[in-house]
Amino acid sequence: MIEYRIDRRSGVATYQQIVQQTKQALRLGLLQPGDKLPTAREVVEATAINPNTVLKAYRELEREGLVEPRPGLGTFVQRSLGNADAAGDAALRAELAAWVDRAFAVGLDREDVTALTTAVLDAREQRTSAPADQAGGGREGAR
Amino acid sequence: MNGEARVGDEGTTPEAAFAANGLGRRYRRRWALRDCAFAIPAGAVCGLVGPNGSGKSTLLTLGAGLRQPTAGEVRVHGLRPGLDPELRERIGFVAQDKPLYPRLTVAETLRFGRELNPRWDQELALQVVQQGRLPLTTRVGELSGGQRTRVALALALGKRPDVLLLDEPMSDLDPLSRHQLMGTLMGQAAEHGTTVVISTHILSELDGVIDHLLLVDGGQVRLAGPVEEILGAHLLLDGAEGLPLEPHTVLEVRHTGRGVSALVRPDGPVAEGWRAESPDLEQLLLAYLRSPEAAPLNTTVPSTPLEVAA
Amino acid sequence: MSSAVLATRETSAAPRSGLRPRGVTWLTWRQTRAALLVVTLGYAAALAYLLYQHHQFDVTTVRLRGLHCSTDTRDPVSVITANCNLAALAVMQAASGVHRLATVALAAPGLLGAVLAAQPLAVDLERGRHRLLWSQSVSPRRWFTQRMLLPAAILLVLSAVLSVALRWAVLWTHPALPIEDWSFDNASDALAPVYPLLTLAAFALGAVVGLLLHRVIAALGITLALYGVLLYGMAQVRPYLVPLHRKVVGPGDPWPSGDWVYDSGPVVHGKDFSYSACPVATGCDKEPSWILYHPLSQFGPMLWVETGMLAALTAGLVALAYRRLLALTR
Repeated sequence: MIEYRIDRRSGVATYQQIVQQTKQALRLGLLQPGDKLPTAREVVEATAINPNTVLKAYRELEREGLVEPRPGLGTFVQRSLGNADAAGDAALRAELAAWVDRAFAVGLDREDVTALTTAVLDAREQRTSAPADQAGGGREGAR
Repeated sequence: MNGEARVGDEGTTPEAAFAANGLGRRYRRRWALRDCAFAIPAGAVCGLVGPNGSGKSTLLTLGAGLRQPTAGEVRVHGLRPGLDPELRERIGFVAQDKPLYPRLTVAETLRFGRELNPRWDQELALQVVQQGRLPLTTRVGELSGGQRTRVALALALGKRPDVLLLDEPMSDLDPLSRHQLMGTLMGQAAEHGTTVVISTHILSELDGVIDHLLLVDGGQVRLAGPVEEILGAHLLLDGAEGLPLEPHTVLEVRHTGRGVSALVRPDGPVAEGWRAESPDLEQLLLAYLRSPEAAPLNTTVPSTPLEVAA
Repeated sequence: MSSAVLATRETSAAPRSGLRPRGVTWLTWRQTRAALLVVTLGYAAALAYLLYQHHQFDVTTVRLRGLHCSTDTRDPVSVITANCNLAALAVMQAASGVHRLATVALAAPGLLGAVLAAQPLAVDLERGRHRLLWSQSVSPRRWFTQRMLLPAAILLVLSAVLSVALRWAVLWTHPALPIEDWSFDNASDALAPVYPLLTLAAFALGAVVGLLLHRVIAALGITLALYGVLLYGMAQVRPYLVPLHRKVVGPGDPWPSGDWVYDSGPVVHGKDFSYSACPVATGCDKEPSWILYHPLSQFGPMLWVETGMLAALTAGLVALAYRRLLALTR
């Protein structure tokens, strides 16, 4: 069964961390359709976070059609994630590994690599989701 | 339930697990609490914060029914704590100094809970105690402060209350115990819908734990409501000197080197030039505590009683 | 058929529930069992001492009679020989042993009220444990009642047994102990029915003081002090609890024996005087005396009046304790 690790200093909302970690597990095949997610009680006992946070995360996953609550039984995985099949996944992984090796070779360290991937992912997100919100616009101006 | 209808008559939210209306308490000539109004819904995990001597303990004492209000009323699930007998088994309370009988062993202390509480959950109480590896045959007087706290919490949790009022429960616990006990508390809230009110002055303790907030300062409620609503009602603005802050309600302005940082309750669009972001809980609470004159925000009751008092 | 099943269930469950204390009574039992054991042993020792002294009194009286010194055990002056003297002394010692026991027993209610009522209440309030107790599912009122009831009931039984035995030793056995020693002095409060009520009153007093003071040492001290005041006050009012009788006896006539002479003086020219203010120059020895006294027959009724007063005091103190308890939760 999946165990969530909550990082309170990450700046990512707690429920988002649960959503992301669940999706990660689905992508990596650690969770398969039919698997049961831990109950809210089990999660909060292990992580000492607010139960509503867990419920909110599960609702989010349910909204995305990934899990399905069965009353009295628990929340179950409905479909797996990762459109790439295992073979394609492995190919991508190998490519990434090679890229990381190159990055280290030119002198980047772990944090630099993470920062770089995050920046690329963020930039891509900016391109796909067109209108930035008001506050975001202000921030851009100040920079 | 007719008890809940009673609260409805008084104008508070019917489903509130812990509510106050015009609540005041005077000790001799000093008012420890005055004109407090709020309503915490059932199942909420509510942080009760405020500086030392702000009235947190008094509020919890009134909620637990150990004292009666001098003015106004306090209700737990619509009933009057300390007066309505059917409420006794539904409220759990742990006082700040965690009073226990030092001559009783840990096992006997749990027996104490079992003998005095009809809803007693021995399994849960034992689990809390054993999680801390406390030997059952040790006398409570020989335990450390943190271990005693664990026993006191085991007693309160084993009572299986609907509303759990905890006065600075975590202050003398080590980080592991704090995490374990907070987890157990949240587990109870998840499993049984227990309403938990935790007072503290360690703000980081509440991070990610609470969904409701009560800020008490100088005997008055200054913030009350769901955390998300309260945080959402504020913006932290960073910008150059001279940028307009109107028409927002300004809570605090701090001059930081070349610029200005202001915590505001936005009332309209933010002027060009400001960098706006949501404050986190700690920033917000500190700003309120630093600015005692900042207007209160209470989203749990229809109108703040301060308007009436003025 | 179902009723039969129920009946067998109840009988099988009965031995388990039995006398096992539950709820607040369990807590009280757990907290006071050691003290109550010591107290019970103390009362048992007092009772054993009483029976021993009473037996000694019987034995020494028989021995004294066998010497044919005198038939009057209450008149050791009539004893002449050394043997008789020693035998008479032994009788006296046995009698005064019982009297001494009664005097010592008088201190017990105050001590027990301080230790078993004032101290536990004060220490619970001083350490803030009332907040623990009153946040359980039991009301403060019920907690207080059950917390006090068990020790009070046990003290009532113990004090009743000892005081009935004392009264039996003093008044109801033959040969009786010399009653003058008991003539309405403080020791008589150790007799039934006064003593059990005195014990209850002191216990209630301790409870009130404990609830009022919240300080252990102060509560112990004040309870003992107030108990001393109570005993002193009882001694002051005791002569007036039943009406005094007055009679005049001639110069040579014997004074009432076994009665409690409260005051006396010479009668000169038909007027009462005190001996220190004798108006006759040659002294008042030849004059008749007036005597204010309680006849022995008044002894029993007077004890009952005292008992009634103590019962009223106890009731008042209990009411006060509950009022104080209510104030603590307001």
